[in-house]
Amino acid sequence: MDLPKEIEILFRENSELAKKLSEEISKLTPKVIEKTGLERIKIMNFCGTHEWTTTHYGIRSLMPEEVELIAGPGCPVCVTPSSDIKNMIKLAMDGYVVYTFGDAYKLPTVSHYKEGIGSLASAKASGADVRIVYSFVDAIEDAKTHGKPSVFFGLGFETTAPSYAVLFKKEVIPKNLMFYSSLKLTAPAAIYAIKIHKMSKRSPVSGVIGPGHVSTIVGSKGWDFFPEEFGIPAVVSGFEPVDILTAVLTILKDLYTGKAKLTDLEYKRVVTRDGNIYAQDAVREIFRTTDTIWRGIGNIPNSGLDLRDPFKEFNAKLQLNIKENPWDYDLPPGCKCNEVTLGTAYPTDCPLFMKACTPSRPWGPCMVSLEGSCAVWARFGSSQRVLNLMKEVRE
Amino acid sequence: MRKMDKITIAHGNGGKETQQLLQRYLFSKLPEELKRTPGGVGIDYPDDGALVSNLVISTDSHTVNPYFFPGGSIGKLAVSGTLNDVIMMGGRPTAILDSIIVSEGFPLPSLDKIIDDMISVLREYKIPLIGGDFKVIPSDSMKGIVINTVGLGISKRPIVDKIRPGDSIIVTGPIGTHGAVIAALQYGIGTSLESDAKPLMKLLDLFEKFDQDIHAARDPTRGGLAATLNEWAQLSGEMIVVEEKKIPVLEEVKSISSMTGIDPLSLASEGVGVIALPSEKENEVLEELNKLGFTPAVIGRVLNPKDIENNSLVILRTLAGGTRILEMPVGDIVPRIC
Amino acid sequence: MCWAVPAKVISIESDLIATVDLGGNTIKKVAVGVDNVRLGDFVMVHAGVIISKLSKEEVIENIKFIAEQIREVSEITGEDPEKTVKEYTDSMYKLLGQLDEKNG
Ligand code: SF4
Repeated sequence: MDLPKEIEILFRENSELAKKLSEEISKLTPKVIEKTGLERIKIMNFCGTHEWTTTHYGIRSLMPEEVELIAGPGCPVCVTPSSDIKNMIKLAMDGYVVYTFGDAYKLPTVSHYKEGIGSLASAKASGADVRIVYSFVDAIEDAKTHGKPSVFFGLGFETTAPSYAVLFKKEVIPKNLMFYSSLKLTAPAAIYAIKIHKMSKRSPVSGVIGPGHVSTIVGSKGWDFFPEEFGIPAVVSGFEPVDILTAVLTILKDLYTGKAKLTDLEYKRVVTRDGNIYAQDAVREIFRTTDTIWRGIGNIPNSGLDLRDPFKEFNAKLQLNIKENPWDYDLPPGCKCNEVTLGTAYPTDCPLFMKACTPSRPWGPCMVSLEGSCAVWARFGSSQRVLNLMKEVRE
Repeated sequence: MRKMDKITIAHGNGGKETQQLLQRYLFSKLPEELKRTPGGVGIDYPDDGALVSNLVISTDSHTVNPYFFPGGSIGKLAVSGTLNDVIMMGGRPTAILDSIIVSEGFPLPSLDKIIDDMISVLREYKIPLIGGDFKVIPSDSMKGIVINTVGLGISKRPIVDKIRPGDSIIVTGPIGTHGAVIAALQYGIGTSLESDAKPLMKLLDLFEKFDQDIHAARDPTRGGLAATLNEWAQLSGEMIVVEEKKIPVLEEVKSISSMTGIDPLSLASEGVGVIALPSEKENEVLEELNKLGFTPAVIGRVLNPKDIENNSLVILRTLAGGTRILEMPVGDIVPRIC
Repeated sequence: MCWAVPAKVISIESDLIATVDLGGNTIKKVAVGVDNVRLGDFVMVHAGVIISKLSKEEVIENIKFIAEQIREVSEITGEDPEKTVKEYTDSMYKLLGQLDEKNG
């Protein structure tokens, strides 16, 4: 029996079930609204891939108007600060071979590193040796073959950290390959986002879709704090359309019954309560937590990872004496990107939106990259737009 | 444009950046009357090629890394790609010209093999190679090889792409195969997949038989199906609705794309045609395509949107039954971890 | 932020490196990020590392979990829970059945 195929058929291509779940969601929503007095029900995800599934499969078009699926700080493209990209550009321009995942390759800096160079892609265009790899393993193999001084741009969250840790642990990294950590931790950012929401005047986040693949490592218990500390139901969810729809339905049901709890069964095919201990140990052995800067948000204490001392010969920041830039230049005056990124403001709440800040002349980080919320709204308008589109194609 | 802005690879992705660059630096500088010959089709109308009375002309420069890949090489690609452009304009190819630019130090045996591949396609379809050029560039200014080809063809009834409301959109086979093979090679993924690169000569029979009905035909190379459909929607102002479920994609391509996070809809095909025709003719055309040995599928239709806000959009009904706008591919097409 | 896909372990090079098939003979060398991975295991791969195992039994649990949600929601919305759940389960097992047939 081919398990991946089975999952594809049951959870991805199962439009019949998706329709059924979406109908149930539509039936349940007015009841939840009636019972809770909420005007809108905001459900936040903390994973770029959840957001990807939501847009890629058009999940928002399957929601009633009152249910809003919003993206929290959860993808490297949205949270890697400009200063990290600039540092990598500098290394590339100084002659290091720079390895990066495709995600960060296109990611623009808010202001240019030098005229004409505002991303690793444009650094490459200016002659720098920037190589896109699928994995750290591939970078190691490649760096071994050429022996030139190289730096790996170590993006990622808890899920990606073990892929570095296990390789450092087994001492297979060649001496010519350094590591620049831009690793981030989800939980501190999630707590930060929820706290901000609690304080904002807009309707707060009512439910959370917990990051499934982060959970494979940290375990679903990592999210107990959502219901326990904030009284918000959370569902650790998988990444197929059916997973997300089920998570939304479960959250609505919990809101209706008033029992805020953590549901960790939705993605049980992959996630356990305690997570991947082997990977956790490896990460703990190799990395220590640090304060780190989030694009458009600012510094969040203890929300990052960097190599421990025994590995300092690999640490690009230490070896090359790279200073972390202050975060302020990431958020130009007047820009509301921090609130937009956290979902407490819509891009249209920003007075600069489509005036001083447009996709061709971006002012703030949320407009610079294609995935930024402001850039998405500039291209498509609000998620309401999709609902209007539905009317055209429904027969 | 800032003084120091530079060309990036993304400018050549066949998507939005390419469109914008050409519009700005080329099309906008040419007066209308110099964009085509009188009564012809030229760069005023982005199609597969140009039309000068009944002569179809198309040109394309080919670069691919690596030069040899399962199912072909840059040589095969350079010939079949240009033949396909001629065919997709409804032209029966009569001859091609080539121009090879190679860097100093390029291995001769590789060049030999690449040219053999070009010639074997020409032999198979009996297309004369009537002219060309050969240049060597110093190794510090270029790496590898670039092959430009020009295709000539004659058409009784040229296909100048113009989709209309009520049209059905048909693809002649599974999409994204060539792009997936190349992505696999670039990112160290093993696969038994072969590129689909081949001339679509047989489609000419179909085009001649249904010469009143074919409203548009394109081979979705760079930028993939997403780029082709978006270009059609933009050209016509109509709206295209496609059903993801009906778009044929090989299992292997699905795996490669799900591993790398690259959407098969933006991956190149090199031996597939996309055709728009009135839906009444759909069944006849499908039958004919099957007879010709294709594995066609109707993937969507063209609508006249009620709300003008929705003009020129491509809408995808997703596998999950949701709806989203299928955008023109932007940026480099690279794998992701997020 | 974590793109991950299911795959099958087809060879184990060391306690650090294994080779996986992502379906349709799509082969990739990856790092091992889990304890005692075995030949033939189904796993999830993220950025070139195995981050967890995938289990058949839990897929069934998944199906049951969704049934439970549908049941509870039907109770709230006043539909017949037995009927909605049965419709759901039938359609899921029908899909699984079709798959089994295909695989012989
Ligand atoms: S519109 Fe521009 S300035 Fe305003 S929040 Fe978005 S990115 Fe910042």
